[in-house]
Amino acid sequence: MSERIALRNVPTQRTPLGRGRFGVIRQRLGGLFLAIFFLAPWLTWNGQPALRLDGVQPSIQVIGNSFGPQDFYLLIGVALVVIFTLLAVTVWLGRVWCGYACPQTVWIALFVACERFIEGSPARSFAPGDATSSTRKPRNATTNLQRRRFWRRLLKHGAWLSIALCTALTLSGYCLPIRSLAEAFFTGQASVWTYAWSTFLTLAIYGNAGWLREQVCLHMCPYARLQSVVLDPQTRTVAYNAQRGEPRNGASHSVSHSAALSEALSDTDLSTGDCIACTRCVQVCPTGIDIRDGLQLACIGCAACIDACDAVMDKVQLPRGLIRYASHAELNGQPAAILRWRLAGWAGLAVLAFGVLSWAIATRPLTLVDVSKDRLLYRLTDAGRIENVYRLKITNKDRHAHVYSLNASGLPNLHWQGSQRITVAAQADIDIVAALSVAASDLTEPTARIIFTVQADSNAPAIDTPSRFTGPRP
Amino acid sequence: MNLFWSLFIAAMTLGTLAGTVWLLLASSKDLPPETDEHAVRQTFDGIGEDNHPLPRWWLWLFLATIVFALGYLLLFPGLGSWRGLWPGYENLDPRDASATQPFADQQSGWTSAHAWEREVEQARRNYAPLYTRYAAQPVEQIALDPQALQLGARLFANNCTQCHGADAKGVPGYPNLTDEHWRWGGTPQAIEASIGQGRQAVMPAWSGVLDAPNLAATAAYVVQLTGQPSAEYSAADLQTGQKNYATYCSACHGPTGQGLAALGAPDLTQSANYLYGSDFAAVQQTLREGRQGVMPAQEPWLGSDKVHVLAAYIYHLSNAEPAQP
Repeated sequence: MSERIALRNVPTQRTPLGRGRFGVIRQRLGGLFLAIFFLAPWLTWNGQPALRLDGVQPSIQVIGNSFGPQDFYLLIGVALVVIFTLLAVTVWLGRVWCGYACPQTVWIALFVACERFIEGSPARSFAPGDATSSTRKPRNATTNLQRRRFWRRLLKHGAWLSIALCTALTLSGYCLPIRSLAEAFFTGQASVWTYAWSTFLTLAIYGNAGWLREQVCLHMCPYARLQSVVLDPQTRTVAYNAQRGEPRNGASHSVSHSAALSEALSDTDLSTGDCIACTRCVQVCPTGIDIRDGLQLACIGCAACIDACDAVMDKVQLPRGLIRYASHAELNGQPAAILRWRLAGWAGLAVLAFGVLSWAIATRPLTLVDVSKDRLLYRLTDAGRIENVYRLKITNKDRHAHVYSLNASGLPNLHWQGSQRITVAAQADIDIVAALSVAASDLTEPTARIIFTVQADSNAPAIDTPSRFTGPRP
Repeated sequence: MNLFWSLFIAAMTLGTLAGTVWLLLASSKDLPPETDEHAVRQTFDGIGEDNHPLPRWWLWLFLATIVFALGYLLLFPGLGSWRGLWPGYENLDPRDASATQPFADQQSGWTSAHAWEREVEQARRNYAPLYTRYAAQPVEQIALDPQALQLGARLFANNCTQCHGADAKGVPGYPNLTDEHWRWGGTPQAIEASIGQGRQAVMPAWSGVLDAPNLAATAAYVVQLTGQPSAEYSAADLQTGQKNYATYCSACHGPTGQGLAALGAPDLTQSANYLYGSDFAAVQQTLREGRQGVMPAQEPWLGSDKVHVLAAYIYHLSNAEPAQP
């Protein structure tokens, strides 16, 4: 990179996205997220997958704990925790999710890094005097450079498709066994549906990260639109310090801009501000805004402009921070109040939701009992007792087998015919038949309410399931 | 349906379609050239009403749905009793005797009944191998196989527990399958025949033949056969009853009341054999009204292979140690 300071509005150099302070943070965070995403489906815990979202059973398995459809209400809790945390962070720091953690950003960065690696940075990909896409050349006059560019482009798209395919297969790997999926996929043994879905996902990811890019953020993502109701004057967003930067030193086209701006400012000192109108902040912005116009809908808080401006400030020996994370109030000279009701509220709700969710997960019932009384009303045993027959289905959702004690109550001298202690394997269920009998004299009404009690051999509370006992009219 | 209603339905359907098309085209015409497209027609108090032509895309989509509808009615049954051009719907008319065959597999034509038939065929193909394994084995051998017994238990749970109870011990009127008393025989072949072909037990009603005192006397004798105490009736009653028994009952139940499995006549000397109760009142009712016990035949539903496995399961229920084959 040459050391020239650009004063004209012609893009000759671009600050690479990875080099600044925040760019490094984003790279590292992105790398961490990608590593977690691609590695998680391969991890196992005690022979079981560490994380599996099984759509067939259906169940969610997390480190040996299996959550069946009866537990899916917990997902509401997860959603609430995520929403409240996201809102709290947004109130505090603006759209840092968008700029640093959102999969869209991470994958775009991955694709762009791939592009830069294969094709070179945009500054290198065309030299002065070279044919650009806007000028036409006679058909046969392809230069070596153009031929090279064509192959590089092809390689780039191939790399993009490969990354997209890996992402698609990894996504499927959260739901299916990934080892057998990968093996079957690459040896041609997978089913038609697997190939169809993988193709669809690959093309969707490729199109999203390679072509659509920031259009998703601008037009499709609902989180972007929430900005106006979530942010407040104390939110630390990416902000241009107009007091310090205006009026701008330089290019003619921006004079009208800065004239209007400096008119609005109380400071009418016409000595130039620190902004030298290099427009680097505009060039590096992925969504194409000018942060000097203030916070806009399209700003994803990626701080690329901060890095670009800081680099330029270093070169012109001015202090950094012309564009920096600052709240609106702070820039206007008011004291920055981080702790406020809104932030405390969202953060408090997030903590509360997390607490309730943890408690709900920890205390969820690990035994399910279903009792169905036989269709036949009752029978008379040889001993003259009245007998009802029941089917009990006991499901053990714990990680290890349990021995259950079974009992019934609600009528005097209720006798249980059948085994009253059963063992159920982990993640299994068992069907047993039990016959309850009572002496005819002890039955006071044709239909009596009884309760089946199932007690596991652990500290878990006993489970009571009501049923009915029918007999002849006494 | 008869011709009139068939034509009526066809006319209504096609007429509605034609009317819809007319309405669509009539309202999609552009305004006359002298009228400005953006002219506002004053209606009330200065509130105007525009009249823009229908959006082109909307119009063409609508026409496409009309074309689809016409194509659908051409192919599939919809216009009265006309069955459409799509092959396979000839079997729809229940009045046509030749067309009462259900859809065979691979045949075209979609109805929900046909879809169900296909699913049943598919299920049969999927599960048949499980049962054909046991088709050649004798019942006593299958009764020793734990996997076959699990199959049998599930078959029993699905098909038999509604009458015989979840524990197979039955209720009055539905036999206890776990004891050693069998009305039609407890050999494996007899059990399999009972399940597969069903049974029809007929106990005649004797109220027209025996008057009340005779009926009571006969019932007293029968109850006494089981060994229950005879406090309610006298020795004279028992003698009358014995005479009546010899006349009317011994033909089926045997001279000593031992029963006849071929007829399903129970052994009257065991009170557990009495399906409808062995107390005096119940026996009187049996004699007076008669009984019609029915075991439905399961082979048309389940097929002989499943019946074979079920028979083994039932045999296992009443034989803790089944005899070696």
